[in-house]
Amino acid sequence: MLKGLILSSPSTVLTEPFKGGTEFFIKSILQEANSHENIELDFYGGDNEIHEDFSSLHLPSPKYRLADRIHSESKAEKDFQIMNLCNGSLSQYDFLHFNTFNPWVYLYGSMLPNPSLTTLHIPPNKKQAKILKLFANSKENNKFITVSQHMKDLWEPVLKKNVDVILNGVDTSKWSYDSSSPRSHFTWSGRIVPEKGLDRILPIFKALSLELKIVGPISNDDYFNERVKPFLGNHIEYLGERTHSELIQLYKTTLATINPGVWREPFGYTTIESISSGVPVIGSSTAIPKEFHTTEGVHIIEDSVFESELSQLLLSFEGKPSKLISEGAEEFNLKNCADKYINRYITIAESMK
Amino acid sequence: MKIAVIGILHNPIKPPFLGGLESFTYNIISSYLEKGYQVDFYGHKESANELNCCFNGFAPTSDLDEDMQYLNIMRKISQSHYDVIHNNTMSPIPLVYSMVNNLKIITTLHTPPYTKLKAALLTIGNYKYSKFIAPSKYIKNLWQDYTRCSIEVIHNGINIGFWNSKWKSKVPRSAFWSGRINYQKGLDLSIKTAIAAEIPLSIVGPIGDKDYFDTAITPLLGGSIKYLGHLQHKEMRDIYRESSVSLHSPRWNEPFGLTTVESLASGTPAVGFSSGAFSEIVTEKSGVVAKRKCVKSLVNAIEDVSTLSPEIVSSESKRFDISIMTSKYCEKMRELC
Repeated sequence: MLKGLILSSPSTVLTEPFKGGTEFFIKSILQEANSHENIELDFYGGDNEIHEDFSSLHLPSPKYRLADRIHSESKAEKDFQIMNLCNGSLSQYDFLHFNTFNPWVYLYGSMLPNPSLTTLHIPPNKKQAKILKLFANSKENNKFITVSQHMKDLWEPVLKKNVDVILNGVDTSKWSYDSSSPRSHFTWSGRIVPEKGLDRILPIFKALSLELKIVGPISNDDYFNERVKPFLGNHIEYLGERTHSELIQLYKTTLATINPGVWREPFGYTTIESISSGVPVIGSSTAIPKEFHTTEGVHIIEDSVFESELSQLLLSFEGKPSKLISEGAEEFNLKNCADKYINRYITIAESMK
Repeated sequence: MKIAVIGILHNPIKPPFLGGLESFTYNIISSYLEKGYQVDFYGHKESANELNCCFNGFAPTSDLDEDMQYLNIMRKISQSHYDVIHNNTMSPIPLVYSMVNNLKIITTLHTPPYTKLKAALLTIGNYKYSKFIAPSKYIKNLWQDYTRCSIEVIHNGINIGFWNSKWKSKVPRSAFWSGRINYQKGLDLSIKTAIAAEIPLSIVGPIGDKDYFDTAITPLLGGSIKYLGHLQHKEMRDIYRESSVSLHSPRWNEPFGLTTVESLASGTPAVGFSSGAFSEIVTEKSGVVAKRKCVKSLVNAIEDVSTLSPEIVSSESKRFDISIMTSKYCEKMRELC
């Protein structure tokens, strides 16, 4: 039996609706890996929930107040909890799987001798690059994975180490095509922030009087209030955050999903969730990772002409949700993704024996 | 014995010292070297040449940057096989790293409890190869709740012989203030005290907060209130020796107060607020602790020290000699090794 631990930050919770793709990824891997008879995978994060198929480590609370004039008690408590990674309790694990953007987890994680695997979910910024570089050189048995080729191209020069690609996955059986309901609207799904480009499509949907449903957490209040809210009305509706089962229902009535992002998505769960449901995706060449460009049901528009081309495409949109699209998503089945991770777990743990 | 001394990264350790911590670090390394120990210093790269700094440290740009530098320091230390580490930082990294790698470490708690160091003490629990030293009972009491290890008090020390040699006659009713100039150190309160007591005041020290200096200090300068700049110890000694009293009016609780000891060693009685470690250093033979924390009380205290003998004041400083401090530190290190 191999015993492993997924490490995130003390702020990461795994209850739905998920804050982002990383939380979903972590929970999916925990569930899949724990269904494997030779793996026991625990979770370290801010999750106090008791789950059906995996357990979360209890985070210690300091005995005394830690705050001072500069640091709040909650920040200080998180610092304490991360420091406690080094208290010896993790020696029971055959491997650690890092999944966080929190630099302090890597700082203290670099002191841990356990073989490690890190999934790099976001592109390197200055701070991330600096700490991950230090972390990468902290021990020999320290492997890195990215979620797309584009991310690999960005991280390899930073880490000066070989970085492998494992594409994320979803449970495609849950997101299957359904032909029973009439389809009446387009859908935009994701965190509502400027880089996801929602504001690019709102004037188009308003001008064409097409129905658009918006789903996702508001991560930037100013952006939402100034660039999104003014367009909400008869045809454009903000539904708030939705759980996966609610999203599955929403895709049953969706004509196509729009992804107008202006940054290069590291992966893009929205795309696989949509195509797994048989729903076509119309996205910008920037937002949709290259791995999806030839996938059935994915329509790419060059970013420089996105708005004008989208207007034309929507007026004569012929792509229809179909079982064929849904079948094309099998490539991104969660099981494929989890199997690859489990193989890595076994490899790095056995290399220490 | 082979010792790794870790210092702060924010400032170089070289005279004239920017503060007590810098002065302490320089003095303890010099003393270890004099005792024949092999010492490597890890800190700011622009520290004094004689400290042989073996790390390219620089003023950190963020908390993370600081801790990353300390992690690199600990990796170097771990590879170099020291008998013991003397940690003078406020970073949690040296403590946590030592625990993970079974390194022997003595940490001097130079400041009142600070968030991340508190968390580090709680994290390492009663790690058997760690000892804590506080420079005063005041600091020990603040920290004791955060560790299951005992904290021992070793008062900071100075070279008493340097400060008390060659007496000069005191100029009656003249005051001296020394330290880093910022709001917390309360120089403005000492100036107001000198003005109210109608005595001249000489001020020495680096300007730590220019806004504070420009707005709270500059308007009070002039006449008998003089700012002499940031001086070397030899120049400071001459001024201490001439002065009849030193003023200590911090708004915060001083963990120790090297300038108080320097004053006593120079035969100059100290008057100050009853905060921090001041009342541990000053006795009724060497100064006066103001009854209340206000300017009026300090003014009254100045009158009370006029009868104290400089010789007796100076002899009261002998328990703070650097040789005593160094011997006690060495004893703790031997216990650990």
